[in-house]
Amino acid sequence: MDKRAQQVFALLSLAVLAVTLAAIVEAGRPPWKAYQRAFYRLAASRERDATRRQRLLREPLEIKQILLPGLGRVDRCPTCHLGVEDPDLADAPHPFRFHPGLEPHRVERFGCTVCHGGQGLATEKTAAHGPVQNWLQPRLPRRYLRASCACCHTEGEIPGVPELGVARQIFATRGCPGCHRLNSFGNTIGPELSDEARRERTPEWLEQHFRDPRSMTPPSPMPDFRFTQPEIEALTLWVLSLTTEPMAAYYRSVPVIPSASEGRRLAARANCLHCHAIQGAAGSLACNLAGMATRRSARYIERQLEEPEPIGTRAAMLAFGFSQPACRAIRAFLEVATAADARTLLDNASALADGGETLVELGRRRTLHFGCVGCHGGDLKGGVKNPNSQGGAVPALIHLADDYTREEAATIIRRGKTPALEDPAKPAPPLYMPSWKKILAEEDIERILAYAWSLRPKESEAW
Amino acid sequence: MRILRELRDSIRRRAPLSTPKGRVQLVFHTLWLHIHPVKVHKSRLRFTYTGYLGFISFYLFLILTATGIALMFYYRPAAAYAYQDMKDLEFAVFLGKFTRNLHRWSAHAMIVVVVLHMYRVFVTGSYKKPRQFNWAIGVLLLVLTLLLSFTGYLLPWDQLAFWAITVGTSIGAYAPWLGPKLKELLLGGTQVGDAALIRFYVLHCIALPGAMALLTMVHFWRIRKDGGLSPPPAEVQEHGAAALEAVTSDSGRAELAGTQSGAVAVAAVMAARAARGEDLILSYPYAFHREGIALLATLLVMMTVSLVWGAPLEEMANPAKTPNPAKAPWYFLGVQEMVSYSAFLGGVAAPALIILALLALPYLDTNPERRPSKRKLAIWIFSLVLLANLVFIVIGTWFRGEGWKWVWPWSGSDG
Repeated sequence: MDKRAQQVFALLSLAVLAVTLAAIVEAGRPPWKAYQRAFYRLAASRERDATRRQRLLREPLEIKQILLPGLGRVDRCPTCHLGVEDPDLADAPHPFRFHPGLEPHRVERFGCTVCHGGQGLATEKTAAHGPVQNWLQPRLPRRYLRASCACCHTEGEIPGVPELGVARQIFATRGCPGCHRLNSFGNTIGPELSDEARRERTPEWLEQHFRDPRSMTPPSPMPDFRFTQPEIEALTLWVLSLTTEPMAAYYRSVPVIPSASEGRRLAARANCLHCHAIQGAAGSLACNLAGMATRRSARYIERQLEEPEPIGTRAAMLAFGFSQPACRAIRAFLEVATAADARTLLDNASALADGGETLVELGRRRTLHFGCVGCHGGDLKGGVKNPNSQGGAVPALIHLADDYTREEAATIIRRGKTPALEDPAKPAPPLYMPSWKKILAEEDIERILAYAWSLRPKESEAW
Repeated sequence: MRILRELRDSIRRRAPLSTPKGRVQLVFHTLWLHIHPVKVHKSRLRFTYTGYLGFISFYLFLILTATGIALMFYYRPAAAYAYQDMKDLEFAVFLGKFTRNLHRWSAHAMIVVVVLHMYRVFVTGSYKKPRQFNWAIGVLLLVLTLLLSFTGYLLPWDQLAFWAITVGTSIGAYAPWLGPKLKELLLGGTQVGDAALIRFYVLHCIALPGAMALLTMVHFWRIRKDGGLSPPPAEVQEHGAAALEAVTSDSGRAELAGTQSGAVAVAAVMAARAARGEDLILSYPYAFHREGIALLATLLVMMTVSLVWGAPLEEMANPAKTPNPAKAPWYFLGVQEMVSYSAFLGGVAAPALIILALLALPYLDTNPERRPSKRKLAIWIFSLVLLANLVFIVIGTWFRGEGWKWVWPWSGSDG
């Protein structure tokens, strides 16, 4: 009765059983188990004590992970990289080798991917290291690893990575915010940069892009800034650090590390340089802060910050009510503070509150700060090419006073302006004046115009 | 031994299967089998007649339920966790990746098989009297299948999920007045977010599968109540001749006195022959073996596919980063393609009309003829509607690039 159906049924049963077994076997033999087995064998071979050797060989094979709940990160890297924290394994082969120089970035606080990139959740080599599809943060090549420093150290000089300071300086002074938005500051002609590190751009791509923007994104309106090679490398490093992941905020909120950048922020807020100087820059009411960290013990500095006491004949410093972590952070800042720091701190302070400068000087600073110079050129002398706009370039603003009344010019700044075409048949010019009314306050516009009016060349008065 | 025998006898209260009585009792006394008749028509078991597509749809639903429950143990429907849980399934859970693959591919397969099942039922005219209502139930089951797949699409919380649901719900919102309100109700807001995720999760795991299970029961029940699986049209034709003979002969005329149509005459003749047991065979083993083979074949194909091909998981959902083009799930790409011509006509009117037409079909088509060769026009129209949707899906999948502009699939993306 119905022999054939029975046979087919039996055969199919066997086939389904086989596939089930195949699935189970495959799931039961992930590659990381082989790594762990090899590691324990290696560790056992280095162990003299017989019982401990046996124990090592009997270690259960399991996924090891570092949880960073504050960042929503899970790093499973130690599943294979088992010797990261064991100095005895300094000469072991990869992936078991010891990681030198980790202090103060301890693994249990920082995991691995915060610095190295890569997919912490993965337990397979390619998926973890990348590049793989659909994971935007592949492991950073060794050369660019230092970029990650700036993810947390978002302010001030970063010890050991001067390039990042250079790049930030470029962004702040060469007019980048005129087109690019970064952390809700800047205009929107170019792409927003806040999460640029998570856009699958390779370092090579970025370097070539800074060398010649149009070679990578053909219609790019980005002017050629003629960056030098060191500048290109600095910018590439810096862009690789731009993320909206709140790493800096997170590590500041858990005050485990006396962070110099946090100290710098606190120093700016407390306006320390009103009284203190660093290497001769800024105030003279109180002691010079340069070298303070080497002259005095850490404990002394921190105590002075927390509860200031009179020193010799001088009156005590004002009590600012710094918390203990804040005191440690400020002390960390003092270790690295330079005269340049003092000057930028002062600049920032005066950019927020007028420090007696003329309206013209305030306006000049704002053309740097808001990025006007990116298109209108240094000192607003013009020069950036803008094909098919009248004159073929973004206009200089030194003749602004001849062509417009202040009110007309203010209106253009507020509303923006699309340049007139030279040849209506050709495509519209890539650059245009964006609207600034959401970014600039009225008094900022007034200051910028005062500056622009001051640039009017003397001979034009002959007209 | 004695205890074991007693245990066995307490569980199965029937005669041994070697006896005809035992085979009958197997069907009769088993809760899960008694939806079957004890005996079935030989011709209904032919693979070439039904393709066992209805069974396969049901089996896929079972696979989806089993794997779905397994996945629920690991999945948390919140934007903060969902994507990470998918990664955990892939990298840290034993058989997690396989289970998810099986769930994903079975869901796609179910849509295909359900549509093919509908097509088979249409071509063989099996929706006609007295099975009209069961066809309508079937159409509702098709809609539920699509909704289940659509709601499940969001759960991985990757870019694919986020934007497919964003596009899908926006298409729905083209419906006048009701559309935007429905969209808001479904999403729990104006855009896809945490509220949408929990709503889709509850729909996907409780509401829709519940409705599906209930309607499936009705669907099966009605098969029995409407006279079992419909006979193959060719058989009807053969019996039609016999019926004609019966009607024209004196005795036959007497037998069929009071009947109204040829179709009824055919049914009567067939019932008479069936009663004489000419083409009836026992469900066990003939039907059950074949159903078992269909189940095993379905399992084998789905498991093999899941072992070889991984289900896609794109980068994490990012509302600030719109892919261009953002595409709906593939089975709605036909609709999205129509939307690109006219939002209202393509996105709302056409799909709604198609569903309504499908529901009303058996009541509009009152022609009792079932043989495909005599219903060429109907089959052509039905095939063309399906084919048009298929063509639109193919276009939407492979021929549409940035800004929904036409691209050739082999021209390569700018990557």
